[in-house]
Amino acid sequence: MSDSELAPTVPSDPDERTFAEQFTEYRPRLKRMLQFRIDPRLSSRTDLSDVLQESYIDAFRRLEHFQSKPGMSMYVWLRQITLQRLIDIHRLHLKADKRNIQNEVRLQQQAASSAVIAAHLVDVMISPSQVAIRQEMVSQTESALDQLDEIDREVLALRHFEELTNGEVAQVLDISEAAASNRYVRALTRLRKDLEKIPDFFDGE
Amino acid sequence: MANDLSQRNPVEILGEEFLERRRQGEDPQIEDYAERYAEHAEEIHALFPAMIAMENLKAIKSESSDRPIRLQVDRLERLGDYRIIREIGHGGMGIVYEAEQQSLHRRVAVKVFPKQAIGDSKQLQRFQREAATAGGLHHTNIVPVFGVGEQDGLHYFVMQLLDGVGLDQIIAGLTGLLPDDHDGDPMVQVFGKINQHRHHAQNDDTVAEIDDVHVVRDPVEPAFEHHSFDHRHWGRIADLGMQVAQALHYAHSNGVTHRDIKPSNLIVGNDWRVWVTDFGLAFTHDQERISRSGDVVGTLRYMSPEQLHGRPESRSDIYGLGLTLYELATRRPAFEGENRGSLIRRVSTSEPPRPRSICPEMPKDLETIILKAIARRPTDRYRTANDFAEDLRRFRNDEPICARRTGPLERLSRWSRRNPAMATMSLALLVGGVISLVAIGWNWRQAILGQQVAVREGQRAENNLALALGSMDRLLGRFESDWMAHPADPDDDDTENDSQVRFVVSNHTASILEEALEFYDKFAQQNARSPDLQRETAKAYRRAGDILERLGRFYDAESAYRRSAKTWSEQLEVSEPNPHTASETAGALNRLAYILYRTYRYDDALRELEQARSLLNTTISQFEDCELCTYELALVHTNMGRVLWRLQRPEESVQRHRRAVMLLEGLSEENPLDANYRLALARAYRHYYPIADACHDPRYSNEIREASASILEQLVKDFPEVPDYRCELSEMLTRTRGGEATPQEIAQIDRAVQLADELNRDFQAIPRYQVALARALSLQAEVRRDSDPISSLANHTRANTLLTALCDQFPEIPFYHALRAAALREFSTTLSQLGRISEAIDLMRESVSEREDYFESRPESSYAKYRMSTSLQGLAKLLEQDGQFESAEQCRSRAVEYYRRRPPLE
Repeated sequence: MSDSELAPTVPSDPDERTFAEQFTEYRPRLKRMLQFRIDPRLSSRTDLSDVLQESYIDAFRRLEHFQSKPGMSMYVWLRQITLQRLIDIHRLHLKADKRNIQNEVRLQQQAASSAVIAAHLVDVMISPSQVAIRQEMVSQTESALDQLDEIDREVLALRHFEELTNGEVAQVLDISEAAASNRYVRALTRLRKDLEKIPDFFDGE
Repeated sequence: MANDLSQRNPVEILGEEFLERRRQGEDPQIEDYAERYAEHAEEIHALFPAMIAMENLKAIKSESSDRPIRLQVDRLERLGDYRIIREIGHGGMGIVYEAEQQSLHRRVAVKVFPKQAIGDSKQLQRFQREAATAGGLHHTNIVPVFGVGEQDGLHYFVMQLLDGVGLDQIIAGLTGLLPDDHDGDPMVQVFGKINQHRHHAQNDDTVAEIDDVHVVRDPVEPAFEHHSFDHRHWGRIADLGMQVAQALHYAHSNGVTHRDIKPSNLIVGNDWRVWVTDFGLAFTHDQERISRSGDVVGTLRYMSPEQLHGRPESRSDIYGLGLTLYELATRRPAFEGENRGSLIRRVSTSEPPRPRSICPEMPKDLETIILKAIARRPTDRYRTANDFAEDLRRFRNDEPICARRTGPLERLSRWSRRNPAMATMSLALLVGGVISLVAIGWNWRQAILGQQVAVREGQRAENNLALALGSMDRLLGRFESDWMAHPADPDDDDTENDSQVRFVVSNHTASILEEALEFYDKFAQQNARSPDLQRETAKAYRRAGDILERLGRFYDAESAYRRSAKTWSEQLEVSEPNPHTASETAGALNRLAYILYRTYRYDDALRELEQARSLLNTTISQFEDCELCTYELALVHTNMGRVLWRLQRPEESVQRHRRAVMLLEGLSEENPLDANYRLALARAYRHYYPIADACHDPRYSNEIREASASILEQLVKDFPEVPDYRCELSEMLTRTRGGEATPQEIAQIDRAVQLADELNRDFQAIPRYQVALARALSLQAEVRRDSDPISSLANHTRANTLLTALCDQFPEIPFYHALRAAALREFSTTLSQLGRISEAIDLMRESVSEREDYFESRPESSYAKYRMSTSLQGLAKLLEQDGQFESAEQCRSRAVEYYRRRPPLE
C-alpha cells in the first residue's frame, strides 16, 4: 500500500483539513522514523500505517497543546507523539517479560542502538544483488557506528535517517543549537576516524 | 537567528546545506565546497565523506521501496552509489563506464547490461550467483569484481578499473605491422602506439572504440632484457599465456569457469601483467543469448566445439586461451568466418592450419603447446590449466616441455586417460573452497545479522535466505572433500572407528569451520522466533552441531543438537505427522546420543536413542515405505549397540547391531544402486564385527567382516572413479583380530597394501590415503615379521617416512602422532627380534615421545593414557634386554603412574 492510499480522507472541518495537509507532508519522514526505531521483533506484526493513523488522531486531539508552545517545530512535535505511540506498542507487545519492558522502551528512546541500525540496514538490502553490492560499504559503516557511543549514534540517526535539521535535533534532544551542531560534528569526526581504520574506505582515488 | 548561526559549527552549517542539496537531487561536489571555503577545506575533506556514507545507508532504504521505476534511461548519470563519469567501451553484451563509487571515493569500472541480457528471473538468479562466486576470486591476474547491482531494471557489474590495453588491440596492431616495420619487440611497439593513440582520444573526449578496455593512461616503456628479439617476443607471448592459465587454474579450482576467454577479455598492463576480465558473466554466452546479441562472430570465434554443442567445461577455457595465443603468435585468427553458420561449421569440423605454416619463425615447442591446448576433443587438451601454465613456463625458461608432438589427427595423449575425478580431489580445489567459503561466508554472515527484519519482507526475504543457505551448503559440500581427506581419528576408541564418519580437522580447516559455524549459529538464533523459519533454524542448529563435533567441541555440539532436536520436536507437535520431520527429529536425537556416548554418558545416550527409536517406529508404522526413517533407524540401532556394549549388556548390544545390519541389508536389496545404503551397510558390519567377534564363534564374526569387505569390493568395482571407496576398502581389510594372522588375512593385507599403493600413486598428498598406506605397510610388516624380516624392515621404513612427513605437515593433528607412535613401536619390535636392540630402543624412545605429544593434546582420553603406559612398558622391556635395569625401572614406574591416571573402565 502506498502512502497516499493511507492518507486520511479529506476532513470537512477546515482546521482539521489544514492539519491533515501538514501531517501528510510529514508523513514520509515519520514513517521512516518508525521503521528505523521499531523493535525488529514487532516489525512483522505491526502495520506502521496504523501507528501513523493513531498518531494522527492523537495529535489532532492535542493540537491546542501544540499551539500553546510557540517556537516548537511542527515536525518535532508530531515526532514526539508518534514516538509515544510506538513506545505504547512496545509496552503492549513486549509485556510478556516485565523486567524487560523498561529496557525495551528505554532502548527505543535511545533508538539508535547498533542492533537496530544493523537490522535496518539489512532490512533494506533484501535482494541478493543489493546484498552483494552494498555489503562492503554497509558492514564497514555499520561496524564503525557500533564504535560510537549512544549519543553520537542518536545525533547521526536524527540528522541522516530522519533528515532532521540542526534546529530540530536541538529541540528533540532539548539542547541548544550550538550544542547540537557541535555534537553532530563530533559524532561525524568519530565516525570518520573509525571508518579511516578500515583499509581502503576513503582511499582509492 | 544570526547569533544562533554564529554559534553553530561552520562546517556543520555547510554540511547541512550540502546534504539539503543532495536530497533535492543535486550533485554537489565535495571539492567545490573545499575550494569555496578553503579555510575549512581540511574538515570538509574529513567529514563530508562520512556524511555521504551515512546518506548511503539511508539511500539503500528508499531505493528498495520508494523509488519509482523509470522505464527508459537515456543517459546514465548515476547507478546507486556510482556516479558515471564516461563511457570507456562497449561490446555486444554491455557498455563499460568509468564511474566513481561515492561512498568509497574510488574509481571503478561499471559494466551495464541491456535489459534483454538478463531476461527472466532464472537468468537473473544465475547472474547474481555467478557474480557472487566471481567476487570470491582473488588472484593477481583476475580483475577483481566488487559486486552487482540493479537500478531501474538495469543490471550492472562493478569491477576494478584497470590501466591497460585489450589484447585484441595488440593483436590488431600487430596484424597491421609490416614484417620489417619494427625494430625491437613488435608487441612493445604496438603497445606504445595504442597508448599514444588512446591518450589523444581521451584528450578529444571521445569514446575509445574498444571492447572492455577499462581505462588507459600514459604507459611506461617496459624494461628490456638483453636477449635477441625473437627470443624475447616468444617468451613474452608464453609469459602472457602462462599468467592467464594460472588465473584460469585458480578459478577452475574454485568451481568457476570463464567460458569466454578471448583476446578482448584479456587486458595487458604496463608491466606486461595480464588481467582476465568478465569472470562471472558466463551466462551471457549461452547460445540463445548470443544469437540475440550483435557480437556473434566475435564470441563464436573463440568457442570450443563442445561449447558450441552446449557442453562447456573447464577445458573450454584452455581452448579459448589456446586460440588466443594462436592468434597472438600468428597474427591471424585460427578460424576465419564471416557469419555464424560458417564459423560453427569450421570450429566443429576442421583443424586450423599449423601455426608454423603461417609463421615459420615460431619455435616448435610453442606450436606444440598451442596445438595441444586447442585440440578438438577436450580430453586431448591439457588436463588442467595448471598443466598448460607449467608447459608455457618451461618453454619460457628454455626447459623441455611436457606436451608431446603428435600428428594433428591423433592428438590423443596419455593425459587424456587420467581420471577426471582426480580434479575434484586435488588439493588446489580444497584450498579454493576454503578461500571462497571465507569470502562468501563473510558476506552472508553480514546479511544474516538482520534476518529477523528480513522475515517481514515475506517471500523475497525468504528467497534471499534460501540463497544464502544454499551457497553456504554448496561451499560446505565442497569442504566435505577436505574432511574426507583425513582419516577417521579413533582417539579413545581403541578397537573401533566411529559409525558416523568423523574425520580429522586441521587448524586451518577448523578456522574456516568456525566461520561457517558463526553463520549457522547466528542464523538459528535470529530466527528462533519466526515460525516460518523454524525448520531452517533446526537445520542450522544441526549443521552447527556437526561442525562443532568435527572440531571436537563436544559440549557445544551437544547443546546445538539439543536445540535442533527441540525445534524439530516442536515442529512435530504443530505439523501433520510426516516422515521427513520425524526422521530429522530422530537424526538430531541420534547425533545428540552419539555425543553423549563420546563423553561417557551412556545412560543419557540410551535414553535419547530410545526416544528416537520409538518416534521412528511410530512413523514407520504410519507410513509404509519410509526409507528415510528406516535408514535413520538403522543408524540409531548401531549407536544403541555401541552404547549397550559400554553398559556391559553384550546380548542386547549384539541384537541392536544385528537389527541395524538387517535394516540396511533390506534397504540395499531394495535399492541395489544406492551407494549410500551400501556404504552404510558396510560400516554397520564393520561396527558389528568386533562385538560379534567377542561374543561368538570367530568364524561367524569373520563372515561379517567378509560381508563388509565384499560390499566395499563391489562399490570399488561399480565406482572405479571414486577413490574413497578404494580407501575405505583398504582400511577395512587392515582391521584384523590381531594374534596369528590366517593366510586369508595375510592375502587381504596384501590387497590393502596394493590398494593404498595405487591410491597414493594416483593422488599425491592426500593424507587419508597416506595413512591407509602407512597402516597397511606397517601391518604387513607385522604379519611377515617372522617369515620375511628384511622386507618387513623396508615396509617399516616406508611407513615411518610417510607418517613423519604427515606429522611435520600437520603438527597440530594429534592423530598422526598416535599413528606414528604405533608404527614406530612395531618397527622397534621387528628390530629387536633381529637382535638390533640399541636401534630398537631408539625407535621405542621416539615412539614414547610421540605418545607424550598425543597425551598432552588429549589428556582426557583414556586411550591416550593407556597407550602411553603400554609404550613405556615396551621401552622398559627393551632396556632390560640391554641391561639398563635402572632406566627400565624408571620407565616402569612412569608407566604405572600413567596407568593409574587412567579412569576406570565402565
